[in-house]
Amino acid sequence: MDLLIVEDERSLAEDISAYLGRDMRCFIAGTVREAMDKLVDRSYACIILDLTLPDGNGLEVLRALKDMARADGVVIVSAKDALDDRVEGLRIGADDYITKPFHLAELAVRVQATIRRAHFGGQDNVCVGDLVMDIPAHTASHAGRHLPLTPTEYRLLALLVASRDRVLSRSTIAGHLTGEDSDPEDHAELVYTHMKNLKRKLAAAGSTVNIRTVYGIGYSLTEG
Amino acid sequence: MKLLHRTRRPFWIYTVLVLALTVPACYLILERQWMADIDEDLLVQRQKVEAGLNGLALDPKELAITVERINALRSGVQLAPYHEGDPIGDVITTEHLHDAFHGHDEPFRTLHSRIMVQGRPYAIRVERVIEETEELVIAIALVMLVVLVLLLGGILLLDRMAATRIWAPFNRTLQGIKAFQVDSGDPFHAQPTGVTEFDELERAVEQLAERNTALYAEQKRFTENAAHEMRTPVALLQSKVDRLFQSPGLSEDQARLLEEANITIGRMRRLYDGLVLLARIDNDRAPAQGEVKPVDTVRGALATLAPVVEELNINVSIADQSTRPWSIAPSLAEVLFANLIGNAVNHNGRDGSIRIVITNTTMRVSNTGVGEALDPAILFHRFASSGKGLGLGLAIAERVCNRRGWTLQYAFEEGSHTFTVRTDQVAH
Repeated sequence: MDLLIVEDERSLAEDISAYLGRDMRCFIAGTVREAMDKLVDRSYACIILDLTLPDGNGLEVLRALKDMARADGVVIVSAKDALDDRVEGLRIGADDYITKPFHLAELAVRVQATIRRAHFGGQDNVCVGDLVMDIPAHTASHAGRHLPLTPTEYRLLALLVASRDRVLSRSTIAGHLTGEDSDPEDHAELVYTHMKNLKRKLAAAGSTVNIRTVYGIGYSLTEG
Repeated sequence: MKLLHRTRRPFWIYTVLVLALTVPACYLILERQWMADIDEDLLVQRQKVEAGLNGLALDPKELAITVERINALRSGVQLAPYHEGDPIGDVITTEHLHDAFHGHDEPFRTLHSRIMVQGRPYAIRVERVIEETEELVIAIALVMLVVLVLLLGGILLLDRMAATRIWAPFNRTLQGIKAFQVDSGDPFHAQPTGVTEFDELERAVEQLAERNTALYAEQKRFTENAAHEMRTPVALLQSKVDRLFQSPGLSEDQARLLEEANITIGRMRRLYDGLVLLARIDNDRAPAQGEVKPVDTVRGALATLAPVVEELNINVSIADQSTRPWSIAPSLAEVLFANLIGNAVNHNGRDGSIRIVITNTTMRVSNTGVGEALDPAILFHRFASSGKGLGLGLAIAERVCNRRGWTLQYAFEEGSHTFTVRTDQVAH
């Protein structure tokens, strides 16, 4: 799978590329012009699109994409939190919208969801080790048996799966679960409790998928 | 006190003083003058009688008859042969005597004197009724009073009319300043008034308005630019920390330091988001129109916080008694409800409870929590944090309410903190 990162901040583009590069081949474009050129080269599973570019607005790239009737998924990344931009981006046909600053894990889970929606009509099940995740239904099963996960536990699992083999810190996970406006410090026990329950349910189902605690403050999912 | 009243007050005081002094003074002067005239008249009368009687050259018998007749006439002159003890010089007094002609007591001016008729002394009394004279004096004083009042009243009326005309341009300027809104885009235009001072005022206000509009635009630009300029470096910082976490062979201490950096970046972002949001609400840049079914927005806010609610085992109950949507932009409603409910969740304890009651005009959010009342004086101040969170949430909620013309009230009853949004002030 190919991923196009349209971002004028080179250093950030490289961080995204390094983080998501484990699962996908990443291409980087720093301007609208460069992005247009790269669109012609190949189609992408997903395009991460910054709106504020040195030679224009990222929405131009989105419009060109829609004019070409391309099915590439688009996640808009913007430093503007203005509602107008968000509405306009989603109206033109972006799949998701994320505001800077963001966690790479948060971007990863959104890119994965966008790829599922854009290319498999959301019908595709994702296999993670011996687990099968039904993305639209927000459920997971093991060996044909439904895992009794709460919505919070499912979201936790989806986040870990999108960043599998990588380390997610507790505050990053808390931020994902409670939204941008909550202070993870207010809920120190939050991640621990939900993670404990998720691990227990995975172990009870006999899954080989393993969530281990790293450095005492983080978690990492391996397919086993 | 109006400026006009202030300038007129000494004028009024002066007027009343002048009236109070002038009218009695006039009365006194007039009366004195009249008395002097009457007295002179009485003396003339005496001389006339003396000269007349002497001129007749009557013999004593005829004189006695004439004197008797004069007395019988009651014409105001009485003669009697002079006795020892009767006044020799002129004595003038005012007496109240019975007036046979009018049939009652009247004030009289009387002159007692002595005249010599053909070498014999006679006591003479000349009298004159003075009531008519007094009435005349009073009438004249009254006329004076009326003239004075008319004169002063007229002057005041004319002054008022002139003042209204003179101040009209000032009132126009004042209306213009009141109507001026820094964010409306309508500039303040100076209008020529024909009065130098007011023209100067108009020009000064115009310049002030221009400077304010420019500053406001500058502030708006700054808020917008800050949004962009600060987000990108923080995003870089965040992605570096996220990547560092992936470095193999990280020690537990290093990881803990990274996590602290991670939490700090998150706090910075929330702080900054909150401040930009507050600035946007204060600058009136958030959308104002729209309709919201409050219970939906409340459920949305609760869904976001579901992981915390589940973990703390908080019992949430919603009583929706509303029958129609609330008139507020959805984005503002989200901000308001999310902050109120976030506050109720974040300051709750394990196994606590939250009760939300929604009516057509109010929303009450009650939560269990720390067992003491919050200080209402600083509750809605920015950064008035109770130790949890940044202290911006309630400030934002209150600003949204103010923006909408609503109120946000706090009460602490029976160990439960209650925030109430009241929309009644706004006609629906």
